[in-house]
Amino acid sequence: MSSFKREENGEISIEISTQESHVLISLTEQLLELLSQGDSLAEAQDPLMHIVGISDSDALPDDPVLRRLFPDAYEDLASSSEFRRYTEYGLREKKKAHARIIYEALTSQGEPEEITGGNTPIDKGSFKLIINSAELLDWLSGLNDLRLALAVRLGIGGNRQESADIDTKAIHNEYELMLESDPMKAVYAVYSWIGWLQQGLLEEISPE
Amino acid sequence: MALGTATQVDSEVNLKADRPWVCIVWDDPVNLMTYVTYVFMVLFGYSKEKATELMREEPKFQVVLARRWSEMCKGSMNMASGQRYNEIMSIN
Repeated sequence: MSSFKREENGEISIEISTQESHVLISLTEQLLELLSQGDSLAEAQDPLMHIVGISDSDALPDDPVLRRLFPDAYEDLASSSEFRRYTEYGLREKKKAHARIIYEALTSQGEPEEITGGNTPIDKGSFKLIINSAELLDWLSGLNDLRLALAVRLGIGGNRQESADIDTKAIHNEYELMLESDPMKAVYAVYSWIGWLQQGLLEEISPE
Repeated sequence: MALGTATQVDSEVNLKADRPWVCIVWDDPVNLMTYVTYVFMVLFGYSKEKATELMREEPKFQVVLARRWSEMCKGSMNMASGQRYNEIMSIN
């Protein structure tokens, strides 16, 4: 397992195992599917509004992950609905683009052909991905969306009132103590890993 | 907002500052503190120290931004995703 690093020529790269790659491919695929829900329906309702990015729908999404990714912007319902009408479509498209960039970067690798390092068995089945510099922010946002989506499934911090006092250490301990057989433990491991990846990317690209 | 072609740029006008937005800081504990700091640095041009300080004081930051831009703005930014919506300006 390794994170993003800066090459001597300034490019950002990541050495990723095929297994890790499959996890990210599967997650971005699921996110894309979720973000695309209702697309054709919206288009059919009012094609012109669809083109300019205004949505017919101004209601809070039903899916808890979508609610987390597109939260109410205001305390009062009317303002939130208006805001949503003008912004949600565009935001959805951007989030889709971010997920698609990660998905395509990983799927375009095919079978690992370049086994870097090559000296130790652990390097087998991994490949080095150079992140296009124009897509670094897309990766950053895309990874954040994946974390938010997983956090919903894990029940971490969904409530605005709670979020200030959330004890991440307690959550961590709770998952650490879970039995290996508990599927949520694996979800938490992926959630932690993506946070670690995102942190690694931030460290490489943050200006001083 | 009038559409047109600018032929002269007033040197007194900072065009970047003239693209106002409302900052919505969605206080979600899942967002890494370093990510929020980074977004503040990239979008607002703050130094790392300033951005870190603002990240720790999110509620206050929200007020400062609102006071500064709310009269004139309709655009917004979603902090959770680090995206700007200056384009909304043209609709309003």
